[in-house]
Amino acid sequence: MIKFERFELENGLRVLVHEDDSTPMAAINIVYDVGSKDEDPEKTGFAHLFEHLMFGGSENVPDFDGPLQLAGGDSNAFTNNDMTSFYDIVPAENIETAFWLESDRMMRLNFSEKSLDVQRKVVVEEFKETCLNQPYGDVWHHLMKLSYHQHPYQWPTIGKEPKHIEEAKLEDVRDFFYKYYRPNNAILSVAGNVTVQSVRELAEKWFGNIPKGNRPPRALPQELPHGKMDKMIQEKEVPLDALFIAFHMPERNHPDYFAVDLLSDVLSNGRSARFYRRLLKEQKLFNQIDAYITGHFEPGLLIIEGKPAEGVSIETAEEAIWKELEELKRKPIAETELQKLKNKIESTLVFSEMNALTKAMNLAYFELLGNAEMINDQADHYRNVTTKHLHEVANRILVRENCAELFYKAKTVE
Amino acid sequence: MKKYKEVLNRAVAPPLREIKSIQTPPFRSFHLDNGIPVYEVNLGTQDVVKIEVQFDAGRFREKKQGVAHISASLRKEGTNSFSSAEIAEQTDFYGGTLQLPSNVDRASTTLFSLHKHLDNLLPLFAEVIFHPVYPQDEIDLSINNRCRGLQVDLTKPEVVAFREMTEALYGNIHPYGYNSVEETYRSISREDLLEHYNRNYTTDNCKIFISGKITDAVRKGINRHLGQISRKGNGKSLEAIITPKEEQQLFFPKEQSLQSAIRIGRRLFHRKHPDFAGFFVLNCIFGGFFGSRLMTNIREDKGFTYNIFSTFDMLAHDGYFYIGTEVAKEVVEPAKREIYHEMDRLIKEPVPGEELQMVQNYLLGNMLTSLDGPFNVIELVKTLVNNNLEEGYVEGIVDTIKTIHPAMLQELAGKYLTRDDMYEIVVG
Repeated sequence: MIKFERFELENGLRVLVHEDDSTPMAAINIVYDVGSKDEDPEKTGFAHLFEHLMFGGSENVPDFDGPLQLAGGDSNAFTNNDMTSFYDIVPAENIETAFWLESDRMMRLNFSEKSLDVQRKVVVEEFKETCLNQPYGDVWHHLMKLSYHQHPYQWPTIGKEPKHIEEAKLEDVRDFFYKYYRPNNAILSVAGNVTVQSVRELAEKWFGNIPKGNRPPRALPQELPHGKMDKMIQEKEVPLDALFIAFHMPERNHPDYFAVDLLSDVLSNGRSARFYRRLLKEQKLFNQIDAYITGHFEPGLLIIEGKPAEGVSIETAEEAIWKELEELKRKPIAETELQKLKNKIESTLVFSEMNALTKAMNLAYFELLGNAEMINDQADHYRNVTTKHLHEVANRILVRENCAELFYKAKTVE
Repeated sequence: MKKYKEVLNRAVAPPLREIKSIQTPPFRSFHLDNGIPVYEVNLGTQDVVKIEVQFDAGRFREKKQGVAHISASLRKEGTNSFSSAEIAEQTDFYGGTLQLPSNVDRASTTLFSLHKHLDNLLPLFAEVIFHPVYPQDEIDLSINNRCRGLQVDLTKPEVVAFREMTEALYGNIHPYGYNSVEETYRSISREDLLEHYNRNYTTDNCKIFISGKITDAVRKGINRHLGQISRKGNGKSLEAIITPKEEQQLFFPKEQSLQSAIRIGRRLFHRKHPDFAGFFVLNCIFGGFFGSRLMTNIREDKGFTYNIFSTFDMLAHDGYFYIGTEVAKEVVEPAKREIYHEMDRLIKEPVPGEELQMVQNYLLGNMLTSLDGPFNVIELVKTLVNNNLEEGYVEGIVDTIKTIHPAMLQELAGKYLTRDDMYEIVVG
């Protein structure tokens, strides 16, 4: 149970505070309600590039990190399809430095040609390092495109291609900033050795006079059922064959979300889970096999991925997966198996509430999802899932017309 | 009403306060009935516990390459009383997490558990530690999967570069230098694993680290399940010979690669060396954090890479230092030039006061973070215990961070950041 206070500034900035005096630190998280799903299909990768530019200095602070480090703090950020998140961890006595820095870059970023030029190159190298120069590194490019024909989840956060990043212009940067990086499109959460009162004062002082913006309403094209399996085979110079199956699933706030998450756990959470136990250990058909959900805000995916064992064809491996899925659809799982999954989830939730930064980030995440209160009812949602509900959901989700399959077939290098 | 509008001057930074003193966090120790020492950090509000049972069973104890790692990880694949499947099933059922981490020096068995399930998990945990049986079919499966995993890893330039570096520094017969290949794994037999296990996994070669919310019930449970068995050995570290490569510049071409992985490194010293704390500061300035010289120049000014860092690994018997980055193929030479330029600059020019102040504060804040929460604190306690570090060790490092001056840093740079001592590995 995480206790917290919530308030809102006049300019629409939502603030969440969790007091924890067991730590000497304070964690600050600012989440902007913009992700790669909000990008122009011809200018993909921009939300993430922009995240890099947020460290390139603002009106009164030429360098974001220097003053924070001088205060004994550290910072980082990430972007995904749904949001952009910046976080700082700093000794609690110096928390005001983080308020100063975060508010200055929300007030007015330096729109510098030099910073843009350097970060374009940095991000292109990141693109190469994570996607192009790794075996299977392009999997998300293919899998998302197969799974989404209308919805902007069809490109990964890094962008469709390096060219989009190379072509980013300073005017795009300025537009994006005033459109999305406004207080009424942001959530500030603070956890650690602080008081609600002090955070309220600091928030008013540093963020209170940042003007509101006009965030355009989000109207994303929705994905309609494809009605058939989408399939792709990549013959590539990868070391081993690999296969990926992606099933469409409901959005994060849908009542079935928790059941689908548990479904992926039946298959693959822990070494006693069905895939690991049966397909890897008993039948020895795979070297590696895994199932998980993407956790997207809007309708997401349940993904199964595996690498067949030596001498096992990718088709045999695929068939074995489907056999397991058919069994899940044929009869409900045993009550004890469900209890095991719930016990595991309970542990995971308790262990995830162990430090200030994760608490700050979880609060902001749930607030963005609709309401920070949700942080305290997740365990109940999982607890309330029944074997009957799981069985129903399995029959709805785990069907061929509802999925995409991507195979990598290893091509030997000449 | 915007009452701050008139008074707020954003150009002026808020005043900073000095970071309060950092001390070794309190921990206690006691012995189980069989004499195994237990080190305990009792902190935190959640009803959770982490138990790590550690053996000095790393590569320095191996009679055959690869045995230490495989014997460590296969302990959960079957014991006297439980099959591999039962171990997995029971652990998962009680929401526990069972890990078998091992590194070149040591092997651990670690359990994370909620208080309420601990009694159900401890018997299983003790079995994995004291009664593994190494079934042949599990060995075969594990070695097959490992070989396939290796095939994937060896296509990654950064993996190859790191392997080539440790081999260059220590040679391929040294525990810190050799790299496992398929034949290494394939030549390991069940007898090899049992021999290594019996010789090294003994109660007189064991330490236990517990952290979280520790109650009497937790201590008693641990003593009941782990404190009653006694198994002595006379395990010692074996002699190891270092045979560094003569050639210091090694290039491994990879035609289809879009980037090159660069590793530049050298042997350093053991954690107990008097230069350790000073070098800790020097490394931070050079490549140890986002505001470092390498990051500022090579990423944030030139845009050559997504990431560049320098780091040092402190091992039980030695230590090494290296710089790592992945850059576009066409900028390998300029990137190397800039790396050496930054080393030279630290030798020739004193670090400006403002920069040093920033690094000092950053490191203090960082240490504070690293002492936040029971699981972080126990890691520090482990370092202290495993290296026989005296009381006041942490305070000594804090003192060096606070008092080190530019001339000392220059001297250290002149001693250690010397181009002639560096091995340079480029893959791609």
